[in-house]
Amino acid sequence: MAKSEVKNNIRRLRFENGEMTQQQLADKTGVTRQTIIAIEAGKYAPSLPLAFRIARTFGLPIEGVFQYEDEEPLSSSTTLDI
Amino acid sequence: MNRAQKSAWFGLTMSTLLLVLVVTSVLVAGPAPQLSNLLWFSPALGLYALLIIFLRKKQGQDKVDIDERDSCISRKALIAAFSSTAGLLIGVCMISLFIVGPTSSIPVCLLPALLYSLFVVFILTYSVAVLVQYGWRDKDGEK
Repeated sequence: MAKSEVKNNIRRLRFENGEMTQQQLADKTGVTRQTIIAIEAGKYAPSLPLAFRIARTFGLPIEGVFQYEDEEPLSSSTTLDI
Repeated sequence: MNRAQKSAWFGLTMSTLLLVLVVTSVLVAGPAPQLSNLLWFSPALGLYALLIIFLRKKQGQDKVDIDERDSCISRKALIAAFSSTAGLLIGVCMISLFIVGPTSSIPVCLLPALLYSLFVVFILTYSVAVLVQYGWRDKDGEK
């Protein structure tokens, strides 16, 4: 089974949006600063509503903030067994 | 460090202290536990419960105290605590059945001792599970 994880650009986006602090982002999204720290570090995958709130804070679609990456990307030779 | 971590550290300290006290008491009083020795711990347990309630009290009106991550951590810790407590209860019942036998009897004062042990193990497991999930030394630094 391929290991997967959700990556994010929150740290970069914070600095691009007027050097927003973690506390400011936490206040805008209704979570604690510890949760923002854990999400940025990739230690916690947020729920879908929280991911949407974070993305809307930066004015981006959810894919602009979070990326789901498999360690084993699908190759062009991958076929489906029917 | 948030409220859940503070109460978890407190729970871990108190549970360890209670375990040490119980073991010391049993060693001093002999292998047969004395009910009076166990009742001596009741005020300690009451104080412990009051302090946990105080630590979990909301500290500010404007700030978010508990969010989805805290709830998730608390839920997983509760599952771990319930599982370990149930495992201990089943283990004690089965072992005593094999050791004492199905028709023999045990002192009644062992029942409150079992309750105390289950309580302490529950708090201990819950506290450790919370602290492990938050990270023992949670670096709370802004970068």
